[in-house]
Amino acid sequence: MDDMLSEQFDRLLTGLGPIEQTDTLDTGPKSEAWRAIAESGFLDALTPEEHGGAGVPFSEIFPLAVALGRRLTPAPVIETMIARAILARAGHEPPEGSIALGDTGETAAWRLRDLGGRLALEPAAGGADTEFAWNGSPLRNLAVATLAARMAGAVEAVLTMTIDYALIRKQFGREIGKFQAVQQQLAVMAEEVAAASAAARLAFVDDFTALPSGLAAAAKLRTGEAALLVATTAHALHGAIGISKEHTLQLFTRRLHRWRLAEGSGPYWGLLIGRERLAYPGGSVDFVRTLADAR
Amino acid sequence: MSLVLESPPIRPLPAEDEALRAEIKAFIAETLDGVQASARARSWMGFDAEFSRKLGERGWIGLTLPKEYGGSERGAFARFVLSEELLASGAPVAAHWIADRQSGPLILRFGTETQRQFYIPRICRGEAFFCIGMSEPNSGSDLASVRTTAAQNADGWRLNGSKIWTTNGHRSHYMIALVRTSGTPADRNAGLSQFIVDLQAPGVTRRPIMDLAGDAHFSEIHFDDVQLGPDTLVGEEGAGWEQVNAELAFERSGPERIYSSMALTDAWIAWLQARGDVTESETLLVGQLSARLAVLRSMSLALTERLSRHESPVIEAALLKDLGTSYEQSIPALVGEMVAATVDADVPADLLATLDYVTAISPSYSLRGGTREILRGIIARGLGLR
Ligand SMILES: Cc1cc2nc3c(=O)[nH]c(=O)nc-3n(C[C@H](O)[C@H](O)[C@H](O)COP(=O)(O)OP(=O)(O)OC[C@H]3O[C@@H](n4cnc5c(N)ncnc54)[C@H](O)[C@@H]3O)c2cc1C
Repeated sequence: MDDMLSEQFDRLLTGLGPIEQTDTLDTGPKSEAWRAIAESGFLDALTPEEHGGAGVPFSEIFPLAVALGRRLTPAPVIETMIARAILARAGHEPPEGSIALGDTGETAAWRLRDLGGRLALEPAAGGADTEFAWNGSPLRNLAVATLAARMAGAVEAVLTMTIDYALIRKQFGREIGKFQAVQQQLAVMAEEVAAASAAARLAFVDDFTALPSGLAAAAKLRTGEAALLVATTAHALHGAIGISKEHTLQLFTRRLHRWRLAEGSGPYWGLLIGRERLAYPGGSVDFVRTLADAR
Repeated sequence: MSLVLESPPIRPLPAEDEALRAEIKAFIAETLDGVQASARARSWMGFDAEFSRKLGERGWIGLTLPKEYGGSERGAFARFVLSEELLASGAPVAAHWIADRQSGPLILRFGTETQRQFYIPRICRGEAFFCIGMSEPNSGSDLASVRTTAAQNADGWRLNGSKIWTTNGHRSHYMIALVRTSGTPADRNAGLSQFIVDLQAPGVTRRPIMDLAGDAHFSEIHFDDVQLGPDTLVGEEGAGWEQVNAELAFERSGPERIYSSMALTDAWIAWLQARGDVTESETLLVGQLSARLAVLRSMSLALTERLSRHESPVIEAALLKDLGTSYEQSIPALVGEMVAATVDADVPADLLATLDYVTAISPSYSLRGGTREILRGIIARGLGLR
């Protein structure tokens, strides 16, 4: 996806309203926000061209997935893209409205469920709908790819916010960002932000239907670790003001904690990739290399 | 800021670079057959001149350097594959490592034509080993305060002072030394220059220093009126500081800042695999270490790509080095506690010896090449805080 599309997507998200309103932004099926997203044409980015989509590789929508985290947009945009592409491939006309993958997507109109070897599309309100065979990557892998990218975007926003604050808040006659102890903590945050971005990127393989569990695991585990450190340090450096409801920081940190625990926390994915490593006959470097090259 | 966070898509390495991997693996399997994990754990601290010369014969030293100077003119990714295989297997690469990683590229970039023709082919053959002369007894993190001086005279330069903690100082042929050529330590980074010092020259005394694991891999070196020829200055007089920083980006970004505890990790996992009945806590730790490794490796590849475009990503290199050394440093504690949690198990002696060694030496990971606090200071500057 080229920079122009990325910018167009950013503009779309910005147009939905300020970050401060993320808690109250209605992105439900009938909302204006969702209509704007649907009309943008982005929802069929992953759908193959022969099914009327743009056929963009999953790897290239990574910046979009990160942008959603950076802006805390609650709508399940990437999830809907994935679901629509899956449905189209399976020969089903995708329904109108947002689609959640498993349990993610707070406001979705539809839910795609993984029944193991089969997928079911259900209205969020309940009741069965379409069911079809699926031998691609488990839906949970795809759900954590989107969560990992959201976390990568959100920790980046939190770092920026914390640096800005450290450069204006003064104590002892100077900006707190001039104190070495504060600088060192911000440097560690920057390291974790970079690691989160690299980790989430691992899950954005070209073909999402073949996302290996090991890569999803590495992405979720490592972004979760970064989310914890960044959220904790950001609060420490903001002082009391970060605890107030009015401040934007809590909008990010509350979500970071929710996302890091959603769809399997670090230990869930750690056990999964740990079992894969133990079943691998070679060395650790060969193991992670083979994993990364499976893209 | 956005520079710090940029993470280009990671694709499989170019096929011609990957092709090198099998050759290297075969060579290592043959040469290091039967070498125990506790020896492999020394890796880029393990000095074996014969091994280095064998690599040189295969064109595996100076892989990226131009053919006209004896290099192989391969790209940065080929070098990544080579370094990764050597480090992952714990090959004893110390003898040529510094020459290959930084002295050769430094001479190519800043050296005179005569220097290039003299030194680089020798480096590539594994016949000229280099060490880094930066630290001094009173100048560690505060590198700009070095007091060793080179004063110009009719025959070139006269060198006086001392260097310390010089890795392989007592068994290298040459040192690239950062010294003061004008002004005083109060002038900070102005007035510093880099020289190639022949360590057999009269007036040089070298004394190995024993490390806490019982190895003598670094040393203390004194220069007492050492006469350097006119063609020993590398680059411009007074530009030493900028040159050293470019060099440090190479020094800090490679897989050696991630893989130092790999011999221990793999010896432990091999034992778990052989033993069976792996507990859930063991599996989880294996998984955590693997996930973190996958991410660090992809970051190191991304940085390699930046270096291959002849950029000097100083901040990103500092960032990756701190992350990487924190990772490799965490391993002996985590693995040690896990091994010792199985009180009745019959733990192989070699695994215990590896654990002992890595536990003892691991504090050095975050000292060599710049301490954690200094790296974080560099990152903070990159974030606009200083
Ligand atoms: C195994 C090993 C190999 C080495 N090989 C080489 C080599 O080949 N060539 C070479 O030149 N050097 C080498 N060194 C030396 C290495 O570069 C120095 O150890 C390093 O630069 C730190 O210097 P120092 O040890 O004097 O510690 P100091 O600089 O004295 O630091 C002590 C502590 O104070 C902290 N500190 C210092 N200044 C600040 C500050 N401004 N703000 C906050 N904290 C600060 C440090 O971070 C550290 O925690 C090697 C070191 C080791 C351990």
